[in-house]
Amino acid sequence: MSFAQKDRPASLPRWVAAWFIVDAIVALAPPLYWAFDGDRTLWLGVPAVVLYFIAVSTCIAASIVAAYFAEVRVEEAG
Amino acid sequence: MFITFGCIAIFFALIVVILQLSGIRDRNFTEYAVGGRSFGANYQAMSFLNTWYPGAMFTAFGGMAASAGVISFYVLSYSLLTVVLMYLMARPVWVWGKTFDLRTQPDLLALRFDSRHIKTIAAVIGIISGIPWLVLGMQALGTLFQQMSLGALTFSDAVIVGVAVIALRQIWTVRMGMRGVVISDMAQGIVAYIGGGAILIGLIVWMIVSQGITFASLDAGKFAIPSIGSKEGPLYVFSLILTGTIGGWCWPYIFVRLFTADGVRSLKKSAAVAVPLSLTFGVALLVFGMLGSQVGGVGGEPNNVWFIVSREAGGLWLLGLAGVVVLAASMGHTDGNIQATGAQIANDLVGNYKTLDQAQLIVIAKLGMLGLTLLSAWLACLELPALFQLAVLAYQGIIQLAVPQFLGIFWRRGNKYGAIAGMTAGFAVAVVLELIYPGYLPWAYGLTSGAVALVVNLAIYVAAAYLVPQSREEEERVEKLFQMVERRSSITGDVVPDAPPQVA
Repeated sequence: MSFAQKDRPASLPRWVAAWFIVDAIVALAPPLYWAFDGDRTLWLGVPAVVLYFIAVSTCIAASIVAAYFAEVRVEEAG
Repeated sequence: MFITFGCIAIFFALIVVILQLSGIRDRNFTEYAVGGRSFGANYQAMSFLNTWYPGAMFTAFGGMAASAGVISFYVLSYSLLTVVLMYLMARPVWVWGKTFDLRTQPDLLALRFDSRHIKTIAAVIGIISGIPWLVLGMQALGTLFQQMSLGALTFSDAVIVGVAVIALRQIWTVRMGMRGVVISDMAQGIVAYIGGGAILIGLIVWMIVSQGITFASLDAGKFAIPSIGSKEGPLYVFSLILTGTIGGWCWPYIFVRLFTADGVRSLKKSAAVAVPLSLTFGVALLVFGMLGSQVGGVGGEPNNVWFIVSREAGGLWLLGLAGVVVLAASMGHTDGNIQATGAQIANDLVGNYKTLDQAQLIVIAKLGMLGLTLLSAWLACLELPALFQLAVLAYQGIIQLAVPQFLGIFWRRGNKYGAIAGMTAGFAVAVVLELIYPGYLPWAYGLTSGAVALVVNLAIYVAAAYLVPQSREEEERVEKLFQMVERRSSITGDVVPDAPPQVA
């Protein structure tokens, strides 16, 4: 049995696992932060490079909150 | 000075009253070391935050945002990404902890790899690596008390005052153990991150509306991230975020939070409660630091941005509150560090080689905490020029625990030979590389010494997993551990009816 099948934390919905992987990619992938290096273009009054970090952080935080509620829903559905 | 020190004194007294009223009696060592695994999600969330974000967030990272700009946001990325790891680890760590009465991180490694020696090695690495950070935390209080004295105290006198205050606070940590730490973390965390966050947002509004400071006021250098062609190297930020994310759970005082919850559901809920707070606080602090760099006086002393802007905007009363916020954050981190280390001295060092009853374990933990408090207080009052380098070195070293810890939790293969050899080799490689190339490795595109050592560590662990044959008994033992977690596949998974005998 593969690592993904056998060792994936039980009861974690697949879309949550996928979101967690996206979290790691957007936070860690060097080409992404290279692309925003020094970018001061304003988005909603915030420079793009600052907004990149805020967006990454929001994505991670949202994934954890969503994961918790998804697991509670699965649990309550039995 | 009466106002600022008055605020500090009132807050300190409030925490002592809360602890006194809680009337804690520890019945056994599990109660003392992990609070009897009795805390719900809100306590868990605030306890995690209060241990994770020390007072230095306001000085070191606030100062970094003021002086270096947007690169300081890496701390927020890894502080949130590490909670994803917590979410994933929650079930196996808690279930094994409850089933086998694990109280420390080395307990878990000893259980997973069925090795007494890995417990000692992990404990020694954890304790030694933690001391420089404990001393730095105490010294950082010098900055706080110098600011509170409005410059009347010299820095060295302020350090002595700070050390005296935090050492005095440890009386209750030693007496009350983990339950006292978590209960005080709730009060301290509310002040530090909810109160502190509200002040930060208020100060940002003040800077924009009253001072006319915006991102457009900042120079271009504040928006640079080390990239291709940079001095640090293109992988520098990647390395900082990666090692920060996995390294966080290598610290014993962070890891033990996984054992204090009353169930898996509380742990996962605590993650969901903590991240919005962490996100709001982190964004506010770092944006505040960047904008604060434009306030007069901050350019020369960026690490004091929190105090300078607070005093500028709200006078002595706000400066006093700013001091209370930093003290609240510092207390949580220092208490957690000292409590976890004391428990390790009793449980993983002395108790690993000598059979001790519950009362003896508690006495040794208390003596260890007392000794550690006195040692670090003494060191903090000395001038140690290489202390910060030692702390960085310790960090690159301790993250080598990550390989056996995470692979041990999530992967059935892997054995004590790979775990011990990989961790030891990784630690040695990290130390040597950090001494030769402090900060980052120019020939490795900016990777830090710890990240390169992790590759060596991982290679040894995986090679041993495939090359060293395991006995059938060992394979079955590990299989049972993993099945135990899978049987409890619900988010609650709190009830452990058939507890096998303790291995660790």
